[in-house]
Amino acid sequence: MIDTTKTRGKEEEKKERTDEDETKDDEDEAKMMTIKEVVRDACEEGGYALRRRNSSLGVNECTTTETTKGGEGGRGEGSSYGVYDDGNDERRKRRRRLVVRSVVGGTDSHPLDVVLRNQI
Amino acid sequence: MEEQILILSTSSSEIKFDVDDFLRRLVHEVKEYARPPTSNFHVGAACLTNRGNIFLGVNVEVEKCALNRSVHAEQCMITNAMVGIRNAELEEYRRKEKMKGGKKTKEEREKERRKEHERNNNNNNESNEEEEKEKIVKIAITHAPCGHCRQFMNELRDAKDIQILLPGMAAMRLEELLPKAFGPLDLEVPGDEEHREERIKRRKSEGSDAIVVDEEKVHVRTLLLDGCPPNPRDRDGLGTMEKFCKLLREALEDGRIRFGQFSFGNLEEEERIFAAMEELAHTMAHSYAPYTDSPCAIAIPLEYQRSLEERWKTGDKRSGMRFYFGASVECAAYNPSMTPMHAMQVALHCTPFRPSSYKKSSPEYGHIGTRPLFWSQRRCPISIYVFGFRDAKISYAETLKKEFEDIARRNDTDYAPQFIVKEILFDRHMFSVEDPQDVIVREYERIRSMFVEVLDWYSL
Repeated sequence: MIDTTKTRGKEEEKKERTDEDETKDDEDEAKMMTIKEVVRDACEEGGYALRRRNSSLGVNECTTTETTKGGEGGRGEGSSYGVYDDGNDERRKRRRRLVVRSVVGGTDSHPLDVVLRNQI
Repeated sequence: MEEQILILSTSSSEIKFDVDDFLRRLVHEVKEYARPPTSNFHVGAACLTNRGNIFLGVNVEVEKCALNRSVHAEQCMITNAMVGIRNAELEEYRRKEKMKGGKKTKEEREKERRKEHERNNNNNNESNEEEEKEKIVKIAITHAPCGHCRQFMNELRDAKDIQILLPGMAAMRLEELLPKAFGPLDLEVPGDEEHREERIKRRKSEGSDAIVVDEEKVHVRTLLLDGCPPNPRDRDGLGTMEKFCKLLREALEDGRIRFGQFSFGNLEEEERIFAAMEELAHTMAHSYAPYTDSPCAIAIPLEYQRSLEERWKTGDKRSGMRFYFGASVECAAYNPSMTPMHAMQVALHCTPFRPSSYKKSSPEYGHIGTRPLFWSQRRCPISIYVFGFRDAKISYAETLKKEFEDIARRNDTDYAPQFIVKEILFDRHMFSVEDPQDVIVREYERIRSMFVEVLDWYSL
């Protein structure tokens, strides 16, 4: 007599494993897509930097996430220094804001907002 | 060891990354932006600082030019980090100035200056009290770094503890990649004569040829902005440039410098000159040249296409103009050093203001490596502004002109721009004494007159 429970068990395990693999693959793909986007923004519009928003001003001031005004490369700080008019308005519009938070030691202690900065 | 997680979130989703994993993945994407027309070998690098900033780098080669013209991804990344950190310091400085608020009289400034001077004197030997400066803690690279880059990275603050992440390998410290390294502490740092005897004594007692330096007693500058804003001991005179910026700003505020005072009244033009001058001085103050005592910074103006929105807003359809900056970055082993020209290559490759057809996602991506570094289409000479010290051991002015022209000629066969070098030299401690004679106003006028032509050419 064939023990079907055993076969079923194996099949189920196999299926579970495949599902797990698929989920992992999906996660992996999502990660890669996100990274691609981050890199594209940084390298094409951000002067090769993913910069913590207002990092020099201290962590507590980094909490804004969905900001769309100014941006560091725009009229904001650039013009306060009086140097550059930039041509970034259009880019800013289509840029999707990404928020990066770094969790150190298990606490959400460093909320980061990646503002892709025109630094040069 | 503390766990480090990085969360990337958009409005619709949130993805968690292990920091090391994130950096390792990141560099594989970044390498696509490399510019290797000669080697066709793409390298990407990324570093994370203790304040959570991430800076990227790629290898930048120049077609038909000798291999010593190429910049490695690690060097590119460090240059970007320097610029990023320098700008953050500038931001902080401006913010503080803004908070102080209001215009001050000359007398009030004098008082403040005296207080600051006293404070500096008291704190000269108490550098530990300073808050921790920004430094690189992790570096990820797509390939094992070459010996040249290991040596270059050894200049960074707390270099031996930096974690290096390479594909398929566990994280390792730079010290493991570069054991028994020759580094900044092995050299007699120019200007540190006061410790020479002590070093010689120790060297003899240990029977070694190496120059031993007591790290605790000797303040050795490391890459990434040690000592700027002014290093209390200011061996290389970089405080002069910081002071130059400060005095310039003060003279503007109290009306000793007025836009339109020296020219035909184009205020926008004067404002641009002032800002470029200030930025160039700041760039020089953050150059890293402890071994040759020859800090140097350069700036070149290039045009960029205004966006549609900007054109609509300003009603100006012509292209705009921006200054690009580069500074020297030296290495204890000399050869892996970067000249201001190398730094300029990085600036021009990494700026978001380069024409859109140069970017990876453009249909012309295939040509990214063969696009000219200098994209100016104006039929006029391009000025290179050079800031340096009169008594520097190295003068870059002449070599710069040749290098720029060489690159431009090989870059674009249709149009090779001519370059004119405008060298502006300073005395090393010229602003260390008070400024009763309004030296700053005379300096401003001297430098301004050298900047004017370029703006005429670009007819802003």
